[in-house]
Amino acid sequence: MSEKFWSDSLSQIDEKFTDEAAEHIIAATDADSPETSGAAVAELPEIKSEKRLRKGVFAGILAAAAAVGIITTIMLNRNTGELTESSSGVSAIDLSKPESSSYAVESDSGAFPESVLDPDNYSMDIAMFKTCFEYIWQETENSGNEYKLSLLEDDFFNLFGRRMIGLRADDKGWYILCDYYGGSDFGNDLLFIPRSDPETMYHYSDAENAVVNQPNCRYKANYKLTSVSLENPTRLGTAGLQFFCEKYGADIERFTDITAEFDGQTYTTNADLQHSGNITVTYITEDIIKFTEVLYPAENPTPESAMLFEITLTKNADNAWVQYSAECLGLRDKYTLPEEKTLYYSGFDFDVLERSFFGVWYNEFFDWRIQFSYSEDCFNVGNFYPLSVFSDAAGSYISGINGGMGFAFFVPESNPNVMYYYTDLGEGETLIDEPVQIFRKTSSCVVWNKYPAKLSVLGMRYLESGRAGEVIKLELPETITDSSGEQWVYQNAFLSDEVAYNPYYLIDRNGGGKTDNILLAAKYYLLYELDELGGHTPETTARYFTLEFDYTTKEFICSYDWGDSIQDFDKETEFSKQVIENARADFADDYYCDSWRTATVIDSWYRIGFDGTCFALRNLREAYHGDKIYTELFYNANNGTGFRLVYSTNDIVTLKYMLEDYGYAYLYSSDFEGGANIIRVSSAGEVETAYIPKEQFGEMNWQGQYLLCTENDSVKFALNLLTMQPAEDYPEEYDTSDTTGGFIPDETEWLFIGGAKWASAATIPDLKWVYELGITEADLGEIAGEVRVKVPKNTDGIEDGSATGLQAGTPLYSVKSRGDILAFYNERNELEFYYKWVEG
Amino acid sequence: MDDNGIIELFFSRSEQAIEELRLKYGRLCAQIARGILHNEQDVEEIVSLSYLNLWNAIPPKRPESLRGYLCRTVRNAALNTAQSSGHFYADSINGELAEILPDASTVESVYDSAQIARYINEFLQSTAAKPRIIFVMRYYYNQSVKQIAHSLSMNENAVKTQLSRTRAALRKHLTERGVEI
Repeated sequence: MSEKFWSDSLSQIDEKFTDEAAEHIIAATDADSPETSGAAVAELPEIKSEKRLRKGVFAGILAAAAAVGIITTIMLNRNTGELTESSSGVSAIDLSKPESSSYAVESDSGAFPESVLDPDNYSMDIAMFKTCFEYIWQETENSGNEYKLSLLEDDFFNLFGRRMIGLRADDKGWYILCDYYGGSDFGNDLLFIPRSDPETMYHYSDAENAVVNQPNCRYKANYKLTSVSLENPTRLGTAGLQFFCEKYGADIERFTDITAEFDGQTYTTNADLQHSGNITVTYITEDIIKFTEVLYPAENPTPESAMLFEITLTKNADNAWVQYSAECLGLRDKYTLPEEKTLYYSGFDFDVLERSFFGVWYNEFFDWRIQFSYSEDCFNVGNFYPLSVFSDAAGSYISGINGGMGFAFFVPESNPNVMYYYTDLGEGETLIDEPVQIFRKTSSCVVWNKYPAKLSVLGMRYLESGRAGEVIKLELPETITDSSGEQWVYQNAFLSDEVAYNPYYLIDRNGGGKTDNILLAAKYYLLYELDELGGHTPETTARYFTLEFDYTTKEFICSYDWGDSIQDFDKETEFSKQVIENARADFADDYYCDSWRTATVIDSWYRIGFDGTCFALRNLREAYHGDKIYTELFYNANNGTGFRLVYSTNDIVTLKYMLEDYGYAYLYSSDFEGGANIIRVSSAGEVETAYIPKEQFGEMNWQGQYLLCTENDSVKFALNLLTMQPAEDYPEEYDTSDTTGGFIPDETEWLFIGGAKWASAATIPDLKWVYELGITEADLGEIAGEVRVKVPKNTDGIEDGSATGLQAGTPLYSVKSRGDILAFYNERNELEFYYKWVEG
Repeated sequence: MDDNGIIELFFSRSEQAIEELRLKYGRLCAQIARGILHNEQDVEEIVSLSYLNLWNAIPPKRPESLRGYLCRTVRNAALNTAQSSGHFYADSINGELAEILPDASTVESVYDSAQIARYINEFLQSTAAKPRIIFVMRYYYNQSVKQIAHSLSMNENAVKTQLSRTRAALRKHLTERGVEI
């Protein structure tokens, strides 16, 4: 191959491998020169390269600034040791550490020098603020509270009613001097960050009388905050507002002293109206500034009574900013739809989603910012799940469910920058005039990122829809040939609604949708049904295949693992095969009623066995879902009167309460043809099954549920599609909640049921009995290990079918002079069984 | 400063980001660039250019691994410069790569680089860490055998032997996947 081809190929080596190698390169270079920072500067090389760098970088910055209208730059000056004015008029910051002098803050019992205390030595240096102070600071003593200090919002100044006099720097550190609105008897406040420890900030409440080693509070820099440009419309905190006024030559009173008229009355801030603190600048020109702020009635400053004002400032003849208008935009804006709208399931229109909802929305009242995009949305927690996106003449809707209730987002056609949120909607309720929240659009979003760092719930649905097309290589060829040479025609969207097993929709432990970040765990297996043209007949059943989503390469790989039924995929991995075989063997001694045995469709989906004292419910669907499995066990230790819930999905919880309350419980699963399997279990151990094809389903209700009925109508319940999905991200440890009091699983049970422990268990395949050796206790060597998994009866590989199976935790001993033999004591404490270790 | 902190500086458009980047990774960048370029002035230019590229890319990009992203940026920039001279690799590396796949025009006509890259990534995934690191250092970062030996505290012969084995294994891996040799 040519150099170019090699270069192109090698350039696509996964970043995790290149990063891994880089770690060794950097380790070697650092080891060569332990003075990393100084050497690095010299290496690049010395000051010459710095000039070169600066020239290049600044050219880039200026180009970028010109493109987006950004004027402010932060100039770095490592040479002068003092603040200087750059050619653009912006301060340069000396960030170097002190060479000799610095406050030893912990031990210096002196006062701050006069130069630090003199307000005339301070200026509104925004560069210093952004670089040194714009962090989330956490109190290191007392409360441990966190305070934001940024242009966007500053808990610190706002909370304590302070106002910056200015900032300054000297060879000891960086300072902000503050006073109080309306004056104070306690003098000025001082914030100080020493150069020797730039991640610590000290607060002195009375600077003139302060002693260096006696700060009122210490803060640790927890998180660097993203700053904003004052040239663009933005939200501003108290400090941000000061910088804004400084920049635009406005008196801060223009923002704090507002007079407003509405309802025939005149209101003024600080008398009738109370500020909320943060404002949002919505429009800036040379002679017009518009901003909004939530104001509260002074006598009733509650969120419920909050009002949103839009204030417009203009310049008068003297070139001074004055208030032009103050308009009340509304009292918790109500919106009345042109007509009542009943939520309904009406498909998922991505065009509507992208056109009307994509972007960042902000709710001023509760400082709630949500985003709708394919990489981020608000649907990643709990049961908050979108079912439908559609539009009509009035506007666009996202409807969904939140737990047992419905919600809706609505963007009216008449005002696409406003979004209303309705919640707690019951079945058939309508959207009328009481939105819970109102949002305003603050920015738009990239519709589809070719290589999204993460996928939101909406992003997963986007992939599901196939709209990502070639970008994500989701599309399959029109015809594919299976392993037996049979050709299949790609008939329709294989990601159909009828594929109930839809691994896109992950559930967390509470059953809610949760996809955020999960894909970052690299590989993910998707199972699909392939329909034959013209539908199925008894002779031509559907076939199944898997797709592998490999996030490291950010694409779908058609792995074409074929199967005639979903059960075939149980054997997809050796791990899952072992789990299934163990499970099957384990249940060999359990009782199965006739009806269960005939329920072949259900077989290997759920197995329920009874031995008089317990029954277990297992869900093996996860066996072919990557390398993870989750196992559900419902354990009845007291003949049906008490239940210990080891791990539960919604299904199992339902089972528990139904058994306790009614003596019967119903389980359901859904097959790949869209039908439902129903298992009716009684607390006496009776099992009945029923299969309901999809054709017999009722209509999907507004919550996306089907009402199912058997022929005799004795089984009736809703099939909630959202809780039917398998879990991907179960925790390593399983919760144990004892609902009867006192019954705690022993170690054997944990090993037996714990999915994570299955995963890490040292299984013992190909065990063979050996009898011909006359091994005695004297022949035993060291303990070689212990049985990690209960080996059940009659498992393949154990020649002696009468074996009772080893309990987990049983010690295994090596045998002297025979490395291939392991020995252990049986339940009767007899050294009787010997295993020949064949593999592993 | 950790990488997340540096990324946040980029997002806040603080030029301290560049300084922190240089302090932390300047030597690494120079080392990577020197593996491809042999003119010290070019190395300086490429490293500076890479900083500028990062400045222009972050935001909006938020790299999962700042170091990985930076290394890739430096390498690609250096390769672009090297391309103008018509050479991507030193002759010695060219010879070694030819052991894996000779200069057969059929490979390029049948496969695109993405597919070969996927096979290589598969191979690296299944390869033990040490040979993998050596392979990437040699053929991705163009490090000399001497540099690799120094970095990994090995002798040069051991590095050469390991590289030879890894090339043979990769050749087998590609052949098994139908890549014509």
